[in-house]
Amino acid sequence: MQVSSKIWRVYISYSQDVLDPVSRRVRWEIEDMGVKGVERVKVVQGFRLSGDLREEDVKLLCEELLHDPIVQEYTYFLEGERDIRLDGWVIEVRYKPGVFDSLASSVVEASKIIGVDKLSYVETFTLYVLNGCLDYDKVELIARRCLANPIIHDYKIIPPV
Amino acid sequence: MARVGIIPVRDATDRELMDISGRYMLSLSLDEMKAIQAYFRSIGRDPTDVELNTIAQTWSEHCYHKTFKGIIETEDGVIDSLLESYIFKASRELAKPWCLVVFEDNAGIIGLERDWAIAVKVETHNHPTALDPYGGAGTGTGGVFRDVIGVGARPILSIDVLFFGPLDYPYELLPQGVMHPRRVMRGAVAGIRDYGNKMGVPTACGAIGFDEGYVCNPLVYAGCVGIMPFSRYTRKPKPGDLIVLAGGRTGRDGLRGVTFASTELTPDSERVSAVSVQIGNPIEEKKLLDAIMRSRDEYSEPLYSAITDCGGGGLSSAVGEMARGIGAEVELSLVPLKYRGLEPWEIWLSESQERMVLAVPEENIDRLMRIFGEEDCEATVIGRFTSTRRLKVYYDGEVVCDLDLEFLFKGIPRVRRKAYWKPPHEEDPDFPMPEDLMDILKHMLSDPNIASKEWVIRQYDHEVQARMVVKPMVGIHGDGPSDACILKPLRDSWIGVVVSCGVNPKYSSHPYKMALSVVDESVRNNVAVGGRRIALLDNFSWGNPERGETLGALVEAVKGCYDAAKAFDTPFISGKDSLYNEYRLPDGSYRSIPGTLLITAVGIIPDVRRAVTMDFKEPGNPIYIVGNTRCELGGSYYYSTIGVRGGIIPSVDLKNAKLIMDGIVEAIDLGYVKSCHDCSEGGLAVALAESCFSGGLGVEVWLSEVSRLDLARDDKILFSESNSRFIVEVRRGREDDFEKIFYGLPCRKIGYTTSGSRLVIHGLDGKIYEEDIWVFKKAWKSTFNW
Repeated sequence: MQVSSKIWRVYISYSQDVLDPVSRRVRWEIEDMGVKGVERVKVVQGFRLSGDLREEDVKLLCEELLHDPIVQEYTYFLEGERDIRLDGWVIEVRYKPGVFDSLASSVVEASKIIGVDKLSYVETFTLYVLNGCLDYDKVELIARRCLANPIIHDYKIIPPV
Repeated sequence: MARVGIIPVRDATDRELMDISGRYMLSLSLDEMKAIQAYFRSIGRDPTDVELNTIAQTWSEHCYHKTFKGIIETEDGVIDSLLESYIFKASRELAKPWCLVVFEDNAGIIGLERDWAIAVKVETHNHPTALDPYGGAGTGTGGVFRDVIGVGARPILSIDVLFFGPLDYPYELLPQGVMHPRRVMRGAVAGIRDYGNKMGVPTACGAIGFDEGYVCNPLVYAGCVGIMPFSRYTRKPKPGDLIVLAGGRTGRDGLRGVTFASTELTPDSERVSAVSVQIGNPIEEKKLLDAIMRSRDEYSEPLYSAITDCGGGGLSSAVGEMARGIGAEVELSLVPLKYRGLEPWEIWLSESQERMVLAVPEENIDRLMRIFGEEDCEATVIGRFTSTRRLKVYYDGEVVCDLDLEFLFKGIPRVRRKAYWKPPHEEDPDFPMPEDLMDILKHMLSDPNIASKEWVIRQYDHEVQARMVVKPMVGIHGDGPSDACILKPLRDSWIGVVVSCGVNPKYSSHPYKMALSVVDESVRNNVAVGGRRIALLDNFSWGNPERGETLGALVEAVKGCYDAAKAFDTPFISGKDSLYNEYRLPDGSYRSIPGTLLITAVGIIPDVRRAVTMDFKEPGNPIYIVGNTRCELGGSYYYSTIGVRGGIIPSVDLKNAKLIMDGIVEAIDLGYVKSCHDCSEGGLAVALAESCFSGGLGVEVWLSEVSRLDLARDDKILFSESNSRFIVEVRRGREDDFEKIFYGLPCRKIGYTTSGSRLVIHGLDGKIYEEDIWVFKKAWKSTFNW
């Protein structure tokens, strides 16, 4: 296995003790779209970083570029080696191949500025972690009705363990 | 070997020709396919896929406006081009010297003062928004900015007018593959917000409406106002000039968006048109803007001889248009790509965002490349203009397209369509007057069409660039609905640019009167803050023009545009049409939007310090109503609120309307006017309520004083939507001077402002209607407390 084929996964989210307007907004919108029963929503911005990256590089990217140290926290890990357990139903939404991902392209560009020159490719995705009175059908309805647009997005539903 | 397909059209039967049009998604008719067949027979070969696609793009409704330029047979005779016979004709006959560039370039250009000029364009981006609201509306905004940059102007205002299905539309009734209006609206607003805010262009003018007709086909009109020194305007590419492609890289995104726009949406659209959807990159466009502005200004002459947006139709359309009359050669393998594997026709047609094409004289190329390099904006020479009158495209040195430009631009057979129109029977319905008119007024104020759009407006940055004088929200609490916005574009001058709009699909059952009404509304809104010397832009969003009655309605609306433009002395300077806004259901039935005409009015005010806003300013001032109130409640919010059908759609008394507008401007200039608000949706009652709660003042008026024709009921006086009316708060002691200006015109004092917080209306027979202004404000603000 080549080193360069390793992919780092980064999760960025608002810290526990600060106001999380993004998650709060999504929760409100789900309710506004007529789906009841969601008690808590946590939105996690995800990145998949490809390239010959050392752990220090990933840490630097997280510290200097990907997260806001005042209100957000980050975590990273090698894809396949470890996973972070997210507590609840998870909907993972990502762009379909070929759809332009401006956030990803900004990250590649900006990484050069902070001195990480081995970052070759970035994909972004969003994780919506839902808690409440939910089942698969309801979560699927939330995904289709509120969070993913099948024209540009693929989505995946991960039930709680 | 270049990856180019040869398509045998020379020996194809009619049926095979239509097969080809369908298989390659050309959206061409049999007549057009036959014209192509005849051309290739005459030159003795078959076309390549690049050639066929180039022709299809150039001849598309989006690029060529077949319907508006076509021959239309009506019951009253044949119309040879709607554009020539009405829209252009009005501008030609008005012949204003300050109209500098009209219907010739990407945007209309009008003079401001000294060398400064204003460029304006309004576009539609309906189909992409239906598929992906965020990306569709965002790229609509980015695209119209590029139209303005494409004449060499700097964007200073973003305009957005949106129409969606009802927000409470039941999910069960949504056709498969159609998103709920709430979601479409939130996505579209976010897309517009992100593009304007990130690029640093204020979004401050617009409107939002809701109607069942827009459930499957939401409408997004995106507009832009720019400023430029007119001496730097240039659009003459010369043979020998280099063709430079600048900005974003080219990918497979947005292929065939143009021909896709000429088809109806269906549940399958989701599958076949995914590539038509794009997501914008405002940061890239900002770099492009900065580089172009420097190329325009840094030397004694602009470094380019012509510039254009690479929008619908991609390079094929941008280079083709510029090469008109001269010729061009392009090498496609030089085009920088996002990823490998694109076929030549894909590179040539891609509508990837944030790209512009420049014609650059060879001696300037080094300077231009240096500037683009410094701005971190990619620019590449991809070819050269020639004098061959041919469009020649290569891929790796091999010819993939070699077309006669004369054929490309003039070979299209004129479309011939039939139009029918029967004026609707209009009659005011008879029904007993409801008791509680104040309760009805409260309901009307919370109707999504009338209610405060603060939730949307606050997401848009309208302060960036620091030019905004009259903002979209005005009044003591900064949340009243302004009639228009005023920008002060120059640091060393008090002159202002006044932008407003008019649109009302509720009148679409009578398209002629609708056109008069929306021109009146746009001009009225402009005049209400002090605008004059107004230029108009027309944007038609319509259904399928191949149906006689749909086209008949369009013809009526166009006639109304001509009559109104002439009467108001307001030339059209630019416009755009979006047809085929329909959704075909699996059972073969279709849903069409109501014919929707947006008029954008751009005026000036010599001194922005004279501008007037709509909120009442101080207690004890006389309140006037200017203009006649008639029994015109067809399509009114009053009737829709109480569930009454029928009624007469408001018309415009074209002679008096112009005199009234001129009078308002004169009164504002002379300083007699403390506040001014136009009466539109919801009529006199809504206008009074809005002025009251925006100014934090009460008002007491007598309906018996309102100048009216054939009206003797309190409810109809209060809620009639007759055009050309203003509520004017006049400076105390200036009543006589004010009335003198309107001598011979309907202008009546109906009451005065009060220091309390009561809106008090005395009915015709002494009945008193009364309510607290804060109750109204709460109703008005509660709908979008998102």
